[in-house]
Amino acid sequence: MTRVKSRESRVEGRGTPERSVSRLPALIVAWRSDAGGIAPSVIEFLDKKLGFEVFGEIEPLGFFSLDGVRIEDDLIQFPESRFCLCRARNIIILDSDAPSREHYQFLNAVLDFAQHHFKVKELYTIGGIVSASAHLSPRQVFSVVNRRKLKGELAPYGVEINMDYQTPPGSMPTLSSFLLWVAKKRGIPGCGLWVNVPFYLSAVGDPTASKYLLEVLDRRFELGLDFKELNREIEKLNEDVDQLMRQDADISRYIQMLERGIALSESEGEKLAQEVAGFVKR
Amino acid sequence: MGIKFHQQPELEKPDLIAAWPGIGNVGLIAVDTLRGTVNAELFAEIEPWDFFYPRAVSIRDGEIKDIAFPACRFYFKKVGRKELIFFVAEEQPGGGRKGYEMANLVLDVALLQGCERIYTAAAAVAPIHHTMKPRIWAVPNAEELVSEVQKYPNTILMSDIKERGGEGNITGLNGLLLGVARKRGLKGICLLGEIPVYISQFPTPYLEASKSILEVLNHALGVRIDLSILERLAQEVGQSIEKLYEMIPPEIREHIDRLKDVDYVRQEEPGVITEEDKKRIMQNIEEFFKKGSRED
Repeated sequence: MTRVKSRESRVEGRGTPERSVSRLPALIVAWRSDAGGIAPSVIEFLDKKLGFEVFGEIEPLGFFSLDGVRIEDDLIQFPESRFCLCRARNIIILDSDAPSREHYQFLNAVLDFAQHHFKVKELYTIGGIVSASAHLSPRQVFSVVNRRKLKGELAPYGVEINMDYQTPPGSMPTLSSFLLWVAKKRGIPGCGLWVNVPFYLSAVGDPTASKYLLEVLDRRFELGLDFKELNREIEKLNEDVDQLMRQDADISRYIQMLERGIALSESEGEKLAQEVAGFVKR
Repeated sequence: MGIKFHQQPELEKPDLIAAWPGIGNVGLIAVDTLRGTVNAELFAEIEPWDFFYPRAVSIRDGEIKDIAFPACRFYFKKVGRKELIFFVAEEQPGGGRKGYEMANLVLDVALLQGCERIYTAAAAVAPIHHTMKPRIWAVPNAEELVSEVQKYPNTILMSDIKERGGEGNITGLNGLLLGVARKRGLKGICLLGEIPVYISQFPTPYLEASKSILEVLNHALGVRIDLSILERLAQEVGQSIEKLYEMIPPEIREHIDRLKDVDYVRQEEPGVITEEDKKRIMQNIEEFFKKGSRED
């Protein structure tokens, strides 16, 4: 069964991907279900600035539950796994829902396609991680590599590269970690880039966190990105939260506690997340 | 999808004993105890990534060092003149195709070693009281094995259970393996240790059923395995079960105690407990544990 469908015919006459570029081809993987929607927002931003061509897709059969469809924001959704190409920068993007079954086969299908069509030599996964931090505090981009030599290459970008972590009991590794392991097995160097997102912004999006991640990609791939629009989004969100703090003394107190590194109780955290989501989405 | 061999044991006609986790881990505990008691050696394992999502990732100094999957391992041991292969899995693969593929991989290894007989072990949820010795429901995959299992001690066939009329289901790989084995011409028997209906809801393993399985395996394999470790553990667990039992409200316990008078095997007249009674007992137990977990 052919599971990966190429759309090469759509880009016919524009040259094969590897002919029009200078640096080693890299694959950036963005899962759509991500804390704070960081990965999708980064991909949306890059698409707007650089322009992507959809180049291929992975058929969902066998990888996703097709017993029915999910409804989100009043719309029927259907699982998607699209390969996009940024010809000018020699970047390939996988913009995909996370599969719900046959994970190992899916991840191999991704790498098969990327290697076969693009001769991909490096892998990057991007995403957010929820943290108990305040929205005005600086974010931190963390990296996990599957090959030691990559650490030195990431160090100049202000990325935290010395993380220790062991999956706690009852939790499972992320799909990105699984992909990095599969890539390591296949001899493809890769790194995971995660940026922390204040937990109360995870439902509304965190443009500051997206910007931190984009800055790393901007420098790594010499993209020459213009962040003006994103800066306006950041200002708008900060103003919204600021206004909510002025209106609600509890919210103000909770955020100040987070700024001072004081943990909130479960109910305080829930209230903060609920109020911020309600206010920002209004 | 493959099998990784650590060594190639020299075996002629071993029996395979396999178990996956299931209700109360009754079968898994029995098989793993036997494996440990005879000190069987690891010789192969199924590469797990095709079947399972990883359990844990280990990152040190920013680098992925390892990723851990549920293990599915083969062991072997010669016990006297008997050659044994054990297959012990830490998790069952998802149903359908993956289960079928894993069953075939296990049988590939078994056939490669010259295996002609397979045993699997699991639990049979039954209307018995925990003070009663659990019997073994033996379910062979070939007609010619019926007379053999009838000679096993403390063992019944499905047709001995009046209300079942020889029919039933074995969910998961402990059953599927024997179905696939039948298709591939390998004979095998599933040994299901009785677990009281209400104990299947308890958060403790039920070692009495595992012990019954091992006693039957001792007989079937013609070996004499020392069961004293399991007997001691079963006693300890039995005490925990008694404590949990004492926590059940007296009116529910009264219902459960009526199971002592039930013999659902070859029952000619309706027992003192009706199907309605059984349902009510189960509902009461479920309610009790739901309430307990809400109060935790």
